[in-house]
Amino acid sequence: MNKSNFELRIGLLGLGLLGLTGLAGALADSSLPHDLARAFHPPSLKNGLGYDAYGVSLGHRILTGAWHSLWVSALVTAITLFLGLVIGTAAALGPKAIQVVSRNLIDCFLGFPGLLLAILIASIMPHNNATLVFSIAATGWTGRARFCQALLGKLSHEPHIEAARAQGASLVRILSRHLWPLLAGQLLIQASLAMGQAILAEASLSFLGLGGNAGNESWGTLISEGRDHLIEAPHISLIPGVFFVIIVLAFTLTAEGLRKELDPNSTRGYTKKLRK
Amino acid sequence: MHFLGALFKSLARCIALATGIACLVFFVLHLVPGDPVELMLGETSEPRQYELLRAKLGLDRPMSVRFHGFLKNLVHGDLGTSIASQNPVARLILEALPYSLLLAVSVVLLGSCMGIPLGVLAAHSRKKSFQLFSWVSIVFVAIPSFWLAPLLVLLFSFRWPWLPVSSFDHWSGLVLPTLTLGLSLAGYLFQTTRVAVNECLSSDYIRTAYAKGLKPSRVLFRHALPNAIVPVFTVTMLQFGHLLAGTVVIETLFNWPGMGKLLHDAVLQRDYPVVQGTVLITAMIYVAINSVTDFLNRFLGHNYEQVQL
Repeated sequence: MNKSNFELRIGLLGLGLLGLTGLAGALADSSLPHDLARAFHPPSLKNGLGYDAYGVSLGHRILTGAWHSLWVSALVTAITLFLGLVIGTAAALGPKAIQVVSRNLIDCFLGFPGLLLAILIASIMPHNNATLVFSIAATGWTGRARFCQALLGKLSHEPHIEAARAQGASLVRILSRHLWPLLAGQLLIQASLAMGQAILAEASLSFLGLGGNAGNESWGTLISEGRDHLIEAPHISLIPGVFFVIIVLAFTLTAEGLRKELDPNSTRGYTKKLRK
Repeated sequence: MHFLGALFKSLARCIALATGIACLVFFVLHLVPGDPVELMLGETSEPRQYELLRAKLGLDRPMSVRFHGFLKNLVHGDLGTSIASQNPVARLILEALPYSLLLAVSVVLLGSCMGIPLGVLAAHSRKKSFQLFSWVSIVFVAIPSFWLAPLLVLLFSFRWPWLPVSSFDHWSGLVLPTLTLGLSLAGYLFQTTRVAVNECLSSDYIRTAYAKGLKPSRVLFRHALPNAIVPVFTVTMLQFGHLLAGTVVIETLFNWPGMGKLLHDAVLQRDYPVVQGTVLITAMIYVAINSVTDFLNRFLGHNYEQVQL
């Protein structure tokens, strides 16, 4: 690892912490003990991170919420990367007809700003975890597909690809031996960004009341609940938010660190952008 | 490029995309598993009531007839009637739209006035002290709006009671939502601008300009900025489109009566025609704004590539 790669170190540290939190959340007792006498207790050394309106320990809820956020967004990321790679490849290098169809498909899906499509899908399907994953994945794959399309379109004019084509290599061989391996590093960066976005999307949907199975712990629901007690117990919504900021920062910094690692001459900044 | 040529191309793309989006919304609503009527009535509904609502929504007709009717009504500007309030959906949207527009304009103004000049400065001076701005901008982008909003409310409405939590008939109600969204937009535009200006400043024609003996300020304003502003302009316009639609969470939080709040309320009340109409119109507006950006870029002859969203 490059010694000066500060971003990657901090990012990986944050991700390590997140992994541990998620693991602890998975192993933790999911039946949350509640004690109404302790409701609204603020954070302190004795109370840990404080208690919510029902006297459930906030730390406990954050742990279980971390596990929920992690598995939902990991699943979403895997689906979006796969779809993005397949459709992006089809849009860049497929036969003419397939190119036209997949490009227009990407364009149409990109026509829905933000979480609009996810809200639309989540509002008409039964509220459960499958819907949650499906609706976020349906919005998330387009960015990945456009990215793969642009990068593959650019790479396919590189001399070594031209050479392989001149030797008579088939499209499948060129893709699997020459193009996709080149994409691997960039996809890792995309995965890191996608995880951060998926965690935020999950939280936003849960916040709006469109989350997964009833009874699921999610940081979005936690913040939303805390909103009703903002004055007397601000910690209920503020503390999960701090975790959010840390996690999204960890993913952003990891992506940026990876980018530096893979392309040390890059002048690109923190913004995800592909330029010729 | 010629004016008419650019106009024609952008318009054609806009119309094609709008048609595609209309079809997509229709098929998502009608093909995705899940029964809207059952969701609206709850599981304990009587069969008779169920049939009535189904007929009212036109769901008992065959798919092809529904699709035809949907497109025909859309062309006539008829988006159906709200189930909750019995108002035409088009009127509800027309009432909400100015509020969303107001919020989006003020957020874009705040974000670009803060982000773009600082980004240019950071790229131009290359001083270490600007590293601080970079870090601040990453934090601003990373902070989720649904967390920043309660924080700002706590600080500026309760701790120091300067501003109302929610008020839409006085300018002071606009301040907190604008700040919440504007800060993260400023961070994002800062990064975009810095990268774009940096990239321009490291190209060959800038070296030539310096070699001619031009002053650094002249190089920046005459040679670098006109080129660097293209991606920044495009990103700003895209974000504007996003804001018109993607502010569901913030509008709900601050009770701001715009499109996002309309959508959220409709989702909660299971007001299915309103959900469909709002999503459709928002996506159309977004596509229209993108097409205007596309047209301006084409017309001004900018050599730009399809912007990544």
